[in-house]
Amino acid sequence: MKHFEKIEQYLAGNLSTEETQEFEGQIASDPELAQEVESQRFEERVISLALEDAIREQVSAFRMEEGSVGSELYPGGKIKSMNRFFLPLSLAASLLLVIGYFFARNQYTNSSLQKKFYNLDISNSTRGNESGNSGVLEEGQDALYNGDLDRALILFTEAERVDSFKVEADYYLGHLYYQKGNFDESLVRFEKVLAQGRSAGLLEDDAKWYSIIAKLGIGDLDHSFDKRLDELVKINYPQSKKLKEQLNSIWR
Amino acid sequence: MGSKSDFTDKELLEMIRSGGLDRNTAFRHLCQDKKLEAKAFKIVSGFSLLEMKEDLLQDSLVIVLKNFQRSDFELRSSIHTYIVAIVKNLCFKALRRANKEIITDELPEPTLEEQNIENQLVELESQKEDSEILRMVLEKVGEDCAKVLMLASQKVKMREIARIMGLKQEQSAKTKALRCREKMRKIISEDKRIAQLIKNRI
Repeated sequence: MKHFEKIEQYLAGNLSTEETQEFEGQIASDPELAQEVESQRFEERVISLALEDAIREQVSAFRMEEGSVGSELYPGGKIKSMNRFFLPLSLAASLLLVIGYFFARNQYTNSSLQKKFYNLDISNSTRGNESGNSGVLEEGQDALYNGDLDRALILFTEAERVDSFKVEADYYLGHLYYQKGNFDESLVRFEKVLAQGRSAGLLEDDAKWYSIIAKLGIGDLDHSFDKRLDELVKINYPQSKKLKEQLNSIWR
Repeated sequence: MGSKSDFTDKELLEMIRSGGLDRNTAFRHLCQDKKLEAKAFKIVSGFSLLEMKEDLLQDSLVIVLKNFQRSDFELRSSIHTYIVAIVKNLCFKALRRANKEIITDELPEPTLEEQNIENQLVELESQKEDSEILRMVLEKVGEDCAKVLMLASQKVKMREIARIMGLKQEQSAKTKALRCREKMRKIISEDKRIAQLIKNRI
């Protein structure tokens, strides 16, 4: 690579018009130089792809931030923890002067993915269900949403004793333990919902999704993790495709 | 600049080029600009591609943010106009890929700016076509080397690269950058498919 710097300037468009014309003349008459230019162009494309990946991750994260426009794509859901998670990384990226690279790098850990893809969605819940006496579940949901986890625990435990509320109580206990950081117990609860199969109704797919998220928190990416994620991707479950892509990222 | 909620186009461009926290602020501002989103989604809706609206907007933002960092990039319209034009082009491409019928009579003639964007997208398409092979090289190069090469390509100083990579000396960063470049070059030169791609371009 005898002409590395000149080629670099040429490819970046930093040569003057005259210099460009002169250099292109040399390329036209020197096959070895032409080969060198094209090889270096290919190298730049590889680096450019890495850069594009990093920007794409950052754009996606900004779009999904709490309260941002993109977060409205998931009605009923509230993406949690993004602000807490993002701030130090933004600062890091700024210090490092690299667009999102380190942000992207850190985004791919199990822990980061788990935070990024967790959101509490009660759209499939008993809310608005006029047929049953679901007051205790609704109160539990309110407490859960308001972050009063101790009160939510009491209410869901109470609801769990009623057969007709058992599945939903387990589902919300799964969220509750997740929010307490007890991913093992969270997973146990979501597994209980899944064990109900189709009788879990609309909660089945959600429980499948959150069992995956809890497994990410535990770091248990076993065969059932892949299988469940593939099943969700197949039915276009929100965010599932994105999670799969990020799990396959080269930055992991 | 970081605490403001509104920025002029000139400010945003300067912030993105200046790097650091300002760059992140400008990125976030553009990614969360509701007016811009409304304009972009209106275009997407016109193409009956609403199911792809978020992907198309994100693709456009990636192109824009990448272009804005180029020293030779010249913005000839407002940022909104520029992004919306890119969204429009991406819609056309999405329709072509889906083999949907495009009734060109109903569409206005592209402006000069839109024609420029079209040319930039041709480059992007070629990047996408070869993305499998490019990604293969990236994976073989390895995470550490990809990081060093990216930092070097962003003209980050070797002293800073050494600090980021946890190397003790600036010279070690230089050596690593050179070795990584060599590694990438070797991977490229030994791959027959790449050799053919390069040959086709000469």
